[in-house]
Amino acid sequence: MTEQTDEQIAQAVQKGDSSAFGLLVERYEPKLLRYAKKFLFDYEDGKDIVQEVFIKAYSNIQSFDSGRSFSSWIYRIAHNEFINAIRKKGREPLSFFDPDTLFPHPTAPTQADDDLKKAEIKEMVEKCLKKLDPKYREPLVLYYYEDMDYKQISEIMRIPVSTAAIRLKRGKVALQKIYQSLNLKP
Amino acid sequence: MTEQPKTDSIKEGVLKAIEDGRVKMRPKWQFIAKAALAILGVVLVALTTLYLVSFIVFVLRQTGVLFVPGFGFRGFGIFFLSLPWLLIALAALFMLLLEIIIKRYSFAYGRPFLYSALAVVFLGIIGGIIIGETPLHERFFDEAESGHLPFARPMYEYFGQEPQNITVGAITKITGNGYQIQSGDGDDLFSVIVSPQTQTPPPNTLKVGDIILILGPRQGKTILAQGIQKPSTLPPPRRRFVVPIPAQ
Repeated sequence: MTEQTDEQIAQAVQKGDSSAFGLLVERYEPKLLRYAKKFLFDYEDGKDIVQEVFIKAYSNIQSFDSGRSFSSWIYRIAHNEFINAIRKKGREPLSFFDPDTLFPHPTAPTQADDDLKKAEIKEMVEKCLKKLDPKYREPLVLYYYEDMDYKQISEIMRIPVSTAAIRLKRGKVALQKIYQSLNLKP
Repeated sequence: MTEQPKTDSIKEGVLKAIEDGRVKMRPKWQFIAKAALAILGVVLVALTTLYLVSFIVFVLRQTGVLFVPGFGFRGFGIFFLSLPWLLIALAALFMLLLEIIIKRYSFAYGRPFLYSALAVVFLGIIGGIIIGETPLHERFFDEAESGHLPFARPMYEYFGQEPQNITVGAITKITGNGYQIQSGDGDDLFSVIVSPQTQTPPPNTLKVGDIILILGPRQGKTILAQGIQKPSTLPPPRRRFVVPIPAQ
């Protein structure tokens, strides 16, 4: 029997099958915990925040359009919760205004990192997370850990696709600098 | 944050909260109502923007300011000084508001601010110009003047006035030193004095009944013309609120 898609399960929940929501939690719990762990590296209540993400998702499931991707939808809720957590703690500066979203940026049409390069950058991100600005940390985590493409990152963060691409590019440059300043080998 | 159940597993905690009724699914109609309200907000802000831009176009045409750059360098200076900046600032504010509201939709947030903002400005201006060409504001102006639109009256009265140095009028007589015109200020007639320095259309091109735009200072009922033009699309002068506001 074919496995149900996330969207089909979400539809079942919308129709009143609350227990089906457990399947979605099962599927997304490890992913969102990893996302929280990487993006909110220094926040001890990551698990509570992820639980809150699921509660919000259940509460708002009727707003989910089953014609769209459930993954982007729930990651969007997670993004909002994580940003709120960062703001609440006030440990890292988060500006409401981002000049990167103002103008178009020329970007490479596709992501061209090969597996080796990807693994290398993933290792760099892991080691330098604490030093990275959240605005670069998040797209790097979504791209290298959650395997999202530019379009998905753009939908989750509600920024233009070109801005997602430019943040990834700048994030990688920042990563190189931090890496070198820590005297680590790339 | 919702009160969290004290369990180790997120799944157990979430499902228990649902089972206990501590977490409830919001009904679909709430989201539909919210989306409908958001669309209504977009429509209202967009219509207000179009109304303001078209009103600016109407004011510029009606007061003759739109045609003043035709007087050359000096005309451009007067044009910029006579622009209804308050209305322009208000229209810009509504365009910004519209941009902020539409940013919640993927067609807007998926593109750089510059693109969506330019689209809003472009559509606002083009739409406003098209509406400005219709008789909508002329009707509102007449209704406001006759007191049928008490809320709109101050706006049409205030912005419908010709700026300093600009007069629009219909030629009633050609005199020895210029023209006699009837402007929108009631039934009063103005004498337009033409000097050799006055920038005018070629001789004998102006006749009684023509609607003309005069650049020059007024001294009582006399206008010392520095320039005269007869733009083909210049609307006839309108009576300007000579009827008092009816008592409420």
